Amino acid sequence: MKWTSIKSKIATITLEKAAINWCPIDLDSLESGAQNYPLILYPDAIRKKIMKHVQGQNVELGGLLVGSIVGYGDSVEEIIAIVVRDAIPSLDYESTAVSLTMSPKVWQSANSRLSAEMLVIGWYHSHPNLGAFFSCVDKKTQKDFFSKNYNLGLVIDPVREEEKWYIGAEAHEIAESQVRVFGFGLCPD
Amino acid sequence: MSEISITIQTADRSKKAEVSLGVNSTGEDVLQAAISNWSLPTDTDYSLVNVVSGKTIKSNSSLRASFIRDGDVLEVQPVLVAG
Repeated sequence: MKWTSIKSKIATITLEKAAINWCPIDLDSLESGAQNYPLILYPDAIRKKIMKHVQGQNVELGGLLVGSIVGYGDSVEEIIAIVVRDAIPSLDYESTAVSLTMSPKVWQSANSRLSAEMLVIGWYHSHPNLGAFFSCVDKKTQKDFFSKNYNLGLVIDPVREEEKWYIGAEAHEIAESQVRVFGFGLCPD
Repeated sequence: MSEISITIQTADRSKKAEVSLGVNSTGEDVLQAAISNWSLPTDTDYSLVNVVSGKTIKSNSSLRASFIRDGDVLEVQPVLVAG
């Protein structure tokens, strides 16, 4: 077997391109909001989709997050924001109140949503009435398969109405102020 | 044709390789090569999937028996666990 690794190009988009379908927002303020970690731009419709998936269940559920990377240039080294554009629920899984195993089929489900500028940016799962935090198992999965600087981990407790975001191989917790929930095409009052 | 050239990629598409191998190589051979070349976790289960057809290549099936052709893209998809 002859194995030749090739460079895999991860595309970024500009903030202006990311904001094409959004209500008028101050792009400069968004850009300045990205400090130690990128902003997470999280459409309310996707949040509702995830909540609908995990709510009312007393077992852990999860899936993948699909979206785009907003960069200063065409490199993923300097990221302004990560835009969550869809959530792909895992429909083939085994779970208990404290554990979840998602079959690889969730990756295939996500594939139909991917393009040069749309990629799997992370994963999500629920902790029903356990609190929103990353367990040791969650940290290992993040490190093993979501280790890039644009990879997100979202954990939700739908009972206590808590959510926490983590980023990168070391699963750094993202401050709440870095997560901007908004509506596409709809401006907040 | 006894040898084909295919692309192997990780499920997050951050790693890719051009691979030439015999059509009698099995899915398990490809998975083990990916795990070895990319230092993927060894304590995880993976599926090998033809991206275009969406079909999973069984670990003990040959690429020939799985109808893998020159230019196909195979993806290494891990089982994800949470606690």
